[in-house]
Amino acid sequence: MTCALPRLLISLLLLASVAGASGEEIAIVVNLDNPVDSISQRQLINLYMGRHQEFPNGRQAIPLDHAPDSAIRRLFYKALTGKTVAQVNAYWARLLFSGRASPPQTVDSSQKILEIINHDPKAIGYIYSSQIVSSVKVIARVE
Amino acid sequence: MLIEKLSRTVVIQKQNSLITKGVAGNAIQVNLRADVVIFDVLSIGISGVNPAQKLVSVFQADKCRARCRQKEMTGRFRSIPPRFYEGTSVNRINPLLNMGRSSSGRIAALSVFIALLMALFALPSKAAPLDPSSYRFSGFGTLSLTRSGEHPFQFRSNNSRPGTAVNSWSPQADTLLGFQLNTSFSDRLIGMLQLVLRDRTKQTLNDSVEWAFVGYKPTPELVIRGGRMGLDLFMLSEYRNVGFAYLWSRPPVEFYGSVAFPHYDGADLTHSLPIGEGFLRSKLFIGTAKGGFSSRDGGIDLEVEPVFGGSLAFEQGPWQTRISLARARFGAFRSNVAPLQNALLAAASLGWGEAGSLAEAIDATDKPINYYALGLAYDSHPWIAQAELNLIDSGFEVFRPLTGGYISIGYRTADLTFYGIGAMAKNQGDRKRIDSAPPPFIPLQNEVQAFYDLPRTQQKSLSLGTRWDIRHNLALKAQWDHTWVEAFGGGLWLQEQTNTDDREIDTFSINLEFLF
Repeated sequence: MTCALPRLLISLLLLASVAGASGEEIAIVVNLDNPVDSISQRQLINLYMGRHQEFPNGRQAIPLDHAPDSAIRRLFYKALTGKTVAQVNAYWARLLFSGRASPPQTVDSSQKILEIINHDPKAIGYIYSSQIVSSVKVIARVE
Repeated sequence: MLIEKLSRTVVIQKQNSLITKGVAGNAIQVNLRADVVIFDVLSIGISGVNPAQKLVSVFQADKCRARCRQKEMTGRFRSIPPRFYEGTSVNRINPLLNMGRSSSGRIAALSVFIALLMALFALPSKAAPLDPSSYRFSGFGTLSLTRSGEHPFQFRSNNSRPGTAVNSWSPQADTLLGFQLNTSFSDRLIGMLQLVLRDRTKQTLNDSVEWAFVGYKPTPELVIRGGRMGLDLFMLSEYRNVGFAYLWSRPPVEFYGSVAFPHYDGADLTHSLPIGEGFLRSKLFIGTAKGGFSSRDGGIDLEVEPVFGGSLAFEQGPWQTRISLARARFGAFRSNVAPLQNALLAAASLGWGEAGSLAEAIDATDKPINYYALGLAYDSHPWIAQAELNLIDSGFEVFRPLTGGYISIGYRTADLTFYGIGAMAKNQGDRKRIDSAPPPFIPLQNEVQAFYDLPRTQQKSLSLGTRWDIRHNLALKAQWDHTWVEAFGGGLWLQEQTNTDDREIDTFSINLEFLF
């Protein structure tokens, strides 16, 4: 948490500077036992767009996603890829229906994402920064 | 000519009998065996018929026998295939009847389809438990209406598919429903089954299975799969049934229409490697593939054995490029052309010199076919662009080397995307002319000429369209294509007869695409 604090402050400053930004900041979280401390935007795109289902250290990653209609999912993909949820789904349909990869598992709420991450060192998910709890580790922020 | 007409009006009444309508309208019941058909047809023959005419009639009856046998072997009997008749006006065939022509099952399938579409919006979002040995059920579908064609052309989105009624809104061309089951037996062992229901030339369960494979991942970078898989020739060939996954109403016909093999049975090996900021995916595959070239009288069954090839695809940021090569050898082709071949061999012995070499040339068995393709795609808001180029080079004289290509540019505004496509497909070389037959063999020569003309392709098109993403899993598309078809160049269409002049044809499509 100590190293996350300055980043949080910078992000808050950034948030404040982006007047009228459509949403809150999003935090990428993993299990406390996960040795990974940070992840780049490119690595995050690789994970959530089915190119590479691994953490930067080579361990298997299980990405978790929010419900397709949720605001956080819309914000997350817009920030990460510039695409709408429908466009991301179209991309995933190519991979799924040609047997290449399966899209991240969908979880109903941030609460459930936190529960799964608490129990599984391989899981990775995203929640609003305001929902961060001390039982998980923040490895990146997206806004 | 009378005899020819007679044998062409053979109506398949039931599996083991044929009824031919005689000149005077008397129905004669005959056995399915072709020699009896020939005997009966010839016995009504009028004196003074020259040998060539007889030959044609033998050929027609023989062709009928081949079809009947084919049906018998596949265990399926269509009551009256509309394309079996030359005289049947396509306009008169009700598209709904067409949908149900093989069985009432298709109407039922359509009802299930609509029910599923309704259920789609009632489905709660899935929250599968986090379990490595799990399964995932998903699906896709297209409800489409297409208005296209112009006598003598019926629209089809692929050479292996049946034609669509001319000048009426028809759901046949692109409407489909796909179901998929993905399983993981462990972290390393996966399986997948995909069924696609749609209008087909042959409607069997085997043809409906698009994917059925088991895959093993010895390392995260490597996957070995075995079973039935999509033929990975071009950018969209693995997911061309999934309309939601691409921008247009259908993959450009000029490029994708001439690949008559929807999938193959075999094995592949895929390796993914991060290079710099991007990813390189390399693939090798080998197997056998079955497909077809549909035509008004049933078409040609094609089989390639073996087919093998590979592809390299590189993806970085908004860019994707790929190159692919495949080589195949035709097999099991002889039965389709046997009647025409036999007639030619007979003609050769009766004095038509070239007929012998033609008999050899029209048989694709053991002849090679090579695919070469290049693709480039760019996708970064608000622009989306894609282009592909291919060469299908076959050692089979009837399928001349074919080059195809397209370029597509789209612009996105929120949930709407506007796009345009330019596409072309051209056979290399001039049209093969067969004109050496002595007068008695002119009718046979015309048959051979028609056989050569049938797949000949010379066309280009411009398309404009819009895609509207209504929901995260629902999109509506509208597309207009204007196509220029040169004389004797309508091979991508289902032709009632070959066009001897240049044509321009408009195609309008409205598609509702969904995922579930």
